[in-house]
Amino acid sequence: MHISEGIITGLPAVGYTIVAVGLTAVGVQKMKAFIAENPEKKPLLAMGGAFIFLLSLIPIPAFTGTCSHPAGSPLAAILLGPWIALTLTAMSLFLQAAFFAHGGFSTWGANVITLGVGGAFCGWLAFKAARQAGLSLVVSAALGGLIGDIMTYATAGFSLSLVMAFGPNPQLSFSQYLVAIYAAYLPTQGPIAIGEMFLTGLLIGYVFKQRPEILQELKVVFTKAAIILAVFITLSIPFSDRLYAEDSVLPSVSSEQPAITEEESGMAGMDEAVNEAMAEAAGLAARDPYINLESMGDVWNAVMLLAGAICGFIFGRYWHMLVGEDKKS
Amino acid sequence: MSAGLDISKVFDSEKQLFSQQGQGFFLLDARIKIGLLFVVIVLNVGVAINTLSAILLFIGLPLVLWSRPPLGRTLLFFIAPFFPTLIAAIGIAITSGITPVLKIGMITVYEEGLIHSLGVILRVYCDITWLVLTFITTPFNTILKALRWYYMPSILVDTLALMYRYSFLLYEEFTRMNTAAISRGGKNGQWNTIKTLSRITAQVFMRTYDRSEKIFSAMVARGGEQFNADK
Repeated sequence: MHISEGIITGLPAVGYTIVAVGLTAVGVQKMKAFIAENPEKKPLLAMGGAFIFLLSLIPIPAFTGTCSHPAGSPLAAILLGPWIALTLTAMSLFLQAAFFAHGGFSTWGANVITLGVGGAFCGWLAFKAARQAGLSLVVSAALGGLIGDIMTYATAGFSLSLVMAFGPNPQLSFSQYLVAIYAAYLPTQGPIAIGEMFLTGLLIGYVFKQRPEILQELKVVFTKAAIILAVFITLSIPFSDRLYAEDSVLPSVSSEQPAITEEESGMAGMDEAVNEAMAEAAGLAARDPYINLESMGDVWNAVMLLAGAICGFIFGRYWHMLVGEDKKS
Repeated sequence: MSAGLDISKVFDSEKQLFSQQGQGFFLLDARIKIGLLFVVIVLNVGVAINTLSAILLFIGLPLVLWSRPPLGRTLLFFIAPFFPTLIAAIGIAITSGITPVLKIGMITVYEEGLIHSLGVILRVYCDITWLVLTFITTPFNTILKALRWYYMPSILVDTLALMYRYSFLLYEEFTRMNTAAISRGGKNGQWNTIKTLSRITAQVFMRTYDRSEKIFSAMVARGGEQFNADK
């Protein structure tokens, strides 16, 4: 969706352009920081921009007999981050205006806000929120594509309504213009948003299936540090469960005569209930373990402390891979 | 809308720009053209007076005819914004104004809205005329040099240059894979079409990623790793 050249005029056009230039300037700073961190990725940014440009040339069926093109900025934001996606979208809009008169220079600012803020930022936020909610990568990406696309049209409709409602002699109020424009968009843009949802979700899914390391490098999916952390948490669950059980059901572990035996408490494990019973039946009595952690309360605490320190070190070393590195650091 | 955007035609017209010595605006310096375009857009859209837009349009049109830019791409420039502009103009004509001039059923066309929408059409085609004069008469690399002269951030110019260079390549790759998919029945039905397009686009993206690494290696091998974030 591009607002055509010359549709928005006067102060709104100047205002949109100033805001878009400001946003692009922030995006350029982010790009510089990204390149300073990964100089080998500079061509990737350009290729990412070319990819957005290509996406705007791909016709997707709109289920209503027509076809249009995906916005592309939600996908770029998922892959490269929202600020870089916004800047690349701004450059892509420049190329589209220069080569195809698609959009335009006077409406460049409004289009950057529409596709960059509405598409890239909202799509990225939807993707992140879906991931936080525990949805799968494909579903999250699809949601990102859908929300990004819908928000692109929502922002475009908002921009146009604003211009028309505050233009000369408006017949309708701002909200009435908004409803009228959204109603006009819905028959074609609704199905296109669904098309973009499938395209974004499936694309991310295919890339993850074939080349997961690309998504890891671009920090779209969990990195090794996160995997290590997840493995540690998973492994620590049985231990913490056991500790909790011991604390709550067997309060006097160190006493020689426990108040409640394991059999009485119903918390006997596989070893005690099955393996030891079978071994005794076969004439092989169970012996004490070489390292009996249960009877070594302080040692157990020390081990847990050490494990915590190691995990803390790993988390501290790779935290930037989880949450993104602070530029100043 | 996308069906009309054939990037290969842009490439052909760019090649023509290099091979032909044109006339009129073809001979003008790119920096002057960009400066003129900026002034025209500010006057046309920023000031937004219909008379001024009409004057600029009627200065621009003879210049287009005199410069004789490639016909196909020029027509594309004039046709592409036609339908969006028409829809916007109709919308403005029936939703703004106070003096009714025409009533068709429930729809009323207002005089002020009509004047406003004619002004919009005028401004759209004024801008388009000057876009034609700037971008269809100048090879893109010359435009990039001019942008650099205007102190556009180097990172943006470099990225634009690479985007321009590889857009054609990516489009060719996409078209090749798309044609292969169509010939294998990969686009039977809308769901299949979506799946196939996603798969092809994913492939193009993965190749894009690999190619970016190769480009960097090639640049370093040629001593071009100087491009850094300080620029």
